[in-house]
Amino acid sequence: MQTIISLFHRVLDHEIFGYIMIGLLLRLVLMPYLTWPFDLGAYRSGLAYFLNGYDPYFFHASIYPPLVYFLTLPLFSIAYSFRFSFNSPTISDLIGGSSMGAVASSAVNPGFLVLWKLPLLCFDLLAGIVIYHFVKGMTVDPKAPKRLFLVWFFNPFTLAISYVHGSYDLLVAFFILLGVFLLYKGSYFSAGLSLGLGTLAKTAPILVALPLSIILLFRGSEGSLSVSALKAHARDFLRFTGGVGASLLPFALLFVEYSYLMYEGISKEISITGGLNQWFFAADPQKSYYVNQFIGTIQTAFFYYPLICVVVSLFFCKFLKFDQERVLFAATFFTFLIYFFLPITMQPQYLVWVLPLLIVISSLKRHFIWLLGLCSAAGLLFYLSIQSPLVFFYPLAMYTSLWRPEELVRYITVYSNIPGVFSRFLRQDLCTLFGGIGFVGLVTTTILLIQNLWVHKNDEAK
Amino acid sequence: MKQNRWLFVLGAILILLLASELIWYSPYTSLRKGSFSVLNVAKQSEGSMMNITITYQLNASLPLDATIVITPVRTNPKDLPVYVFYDVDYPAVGTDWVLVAMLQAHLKAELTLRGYESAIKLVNAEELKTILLAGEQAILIMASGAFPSNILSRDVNLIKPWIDSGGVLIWFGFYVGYYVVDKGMTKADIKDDDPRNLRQNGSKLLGLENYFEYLELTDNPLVADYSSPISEALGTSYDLIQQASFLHMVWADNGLVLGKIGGEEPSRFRSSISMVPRGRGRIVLFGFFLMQSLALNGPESAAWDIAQILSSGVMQMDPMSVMWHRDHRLAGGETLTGFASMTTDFEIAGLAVFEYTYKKSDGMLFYRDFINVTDVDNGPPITNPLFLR
Repeated sequence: MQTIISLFHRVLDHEIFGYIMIGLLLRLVLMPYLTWPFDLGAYRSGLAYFLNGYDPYFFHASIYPPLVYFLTLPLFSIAYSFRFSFNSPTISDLIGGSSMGAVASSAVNPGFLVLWKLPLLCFDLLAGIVIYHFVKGMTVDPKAPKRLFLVWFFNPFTLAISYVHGSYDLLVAFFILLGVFLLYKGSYFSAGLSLGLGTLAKTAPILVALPLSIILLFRGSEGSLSVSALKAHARDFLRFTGGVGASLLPFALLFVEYSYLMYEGISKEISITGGLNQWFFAADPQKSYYVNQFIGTIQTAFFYYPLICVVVSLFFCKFLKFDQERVLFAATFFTFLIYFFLPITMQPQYLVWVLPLLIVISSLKRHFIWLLGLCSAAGLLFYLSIQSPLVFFYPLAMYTSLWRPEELVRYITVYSNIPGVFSRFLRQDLCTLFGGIGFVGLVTTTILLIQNLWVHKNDEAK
Repeated sequence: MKQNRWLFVLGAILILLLASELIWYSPYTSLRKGSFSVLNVAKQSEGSMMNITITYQLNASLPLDATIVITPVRTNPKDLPVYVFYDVDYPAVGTDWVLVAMLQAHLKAELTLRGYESAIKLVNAEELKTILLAGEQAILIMASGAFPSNILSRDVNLIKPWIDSGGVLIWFGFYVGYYVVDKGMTKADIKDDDPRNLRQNGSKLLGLENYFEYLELTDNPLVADYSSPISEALGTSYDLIQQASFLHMVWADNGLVLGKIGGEEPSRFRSSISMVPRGRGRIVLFGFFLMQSLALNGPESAAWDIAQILSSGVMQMDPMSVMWHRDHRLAGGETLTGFASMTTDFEIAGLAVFEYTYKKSDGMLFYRDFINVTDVDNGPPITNPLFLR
């Protein structure tokens, strides 16, 4: 009892406790009445199939990985046992098409949104705590852990994509961050476990794990590797990949189905409609038409990504001596590399995968915080430009008297039809502009990461 | 030791996921206990008509928004094989092959949910020709906006005889038979004035003369605003009517309006989905092309509409009868007993009972059955049918 009380006091007295409370309140306010209408149908239908015992992948009801459903199943089952219902009168009332297309209007029960976003709240907080501990172990500046925790916990971009949109990309960010943190600490099995669990939330973590496993196996090959060193590396490699396998194997049945569906989906994707990566200019329909003439070639190139990162990681091993910090830079670099290869249209919410790593790195190299700010701002503004910020307010309009859905539709339609300067519509201009700024941010950060991999403090010391 | 704390966190997450997985795979959870059953059927003759009362029971595991549809049918509905034309050697017009493939995948899923027992396959132009020549009773979905020239052209018409012998054609696109495409053509080769195109003659070759009005894309209303009784009963949502068939022509041919209705004036009202009998077969016409994915009129919602049409027995519906339907909203764990009463003539072979849940429903439950009315004994009428809870 005494231990619990003292632990309780320690938590209350902690320097970030007050901020956590404020952050949680802010999130609870955002959760029930805001969402991204285009993805809402997908959240809702995949989960409905899953809760009814149907395989959502067999029935083409979901493009989300199994972790989302296994996390939310207990929550919704408990809610149903208390006779909650989450049906909504306008769930499939979708007008228009892609996120770059026409107006979408759809709402859902606020109770559904709260339950759907509840796991995000937990992983968001956990990610903040990992950042705090990660930074604390890396820097002598006593204020840095708290400062960088706040950068994460109150980043408007992260708040928007998680508690407004309801996207599960934050889970990916958490698992990549924790995986890299554990790798940094030399806990290879746990690191693999984390990246494996992350893979159950989206494909990105396995694409980070692949080059990292190569680095673990071949690091030190810039000099001559002794047999004992090779054995040690092989042990680390096996621990790491064993961790990945241990988390993936129990969910293999659904995971394989999901992966196949993703493969099919990407190989059949028929258009690139802009984004924060190099295809930002495809937000303009004419340029999109040009880009999409080569979509087959682009898709083929994307499927070579795993091979590309194996070659790049072998190249790194040949020329670089890997220590803990270099592993951190390499992991961040490989997360960034995904943006240039997968997926073909880079949605703003994917940017969150790498933000925690950038925050951690900024404790070593301050200028990364500016790039973090640039990428976050570009992502957020791109996101708000797609259909105007009003599009997030449908649940608020449906379930409160603060607004009327027809009013929202009218305003959003007006916004959607404002003529552009160099594209047909202003929204396309804005997406191109902010996509371009985001792309500059991605390229600059990637170049700086490569530079930091090469010009490392150990080398500088020599 | 400190880093092991995070191993505990990962372990806890893994255990939670494993427990959840165990619950999901277990057949003994409360998630899958919903059911629908027909408890009793009573029939009473009154001259040339008969009154039929069906007692049914609906049980929900999760909160359920269910609709029960009872259709008087002339023949016992059979699950015919469904073929979706898909051949990338030919160009798709007004849509994309990816969307056609998605339509087939989603249709397969939707029909599996509804217990449809025949195969749902993609077929290329050569396979299609074989099917048509063999006169196979089947459902053919043409969603690519054009006929391949080996099936329908100025010299060949394999479609009409096949429909007359009992085939069912489901068409999406500019009005039926307008475009004809050759193998090896690309989208860039599609020209409105291409001599290959049958244009207005295409619909004549299929026996649908005067069904359509050729107008520029901007001259016709695009979207239908009003639900028809059947679209309301089946929850069909396809609403494009830019090149849809005229309502008066569908009715004049003993056809059925399965979709929504719209138009500028009553004489030019159109239906977004119509079904027209031709010979022993049927033509189901969707009022425009298959649109983009995840949007209204895209492959997902079109697949839902087709599955509803194929599962409900509406293809065999007696045009003189009225489809009965009722919506129910049940709380989780609730059981409801209900009655359906209808009057029909003796021409019908039986009743197709179809229960489905809307996409907005938490619980999912589908049921199909055929009740042969000749097997039902005459009995006293059930008066004052009320819902018993």
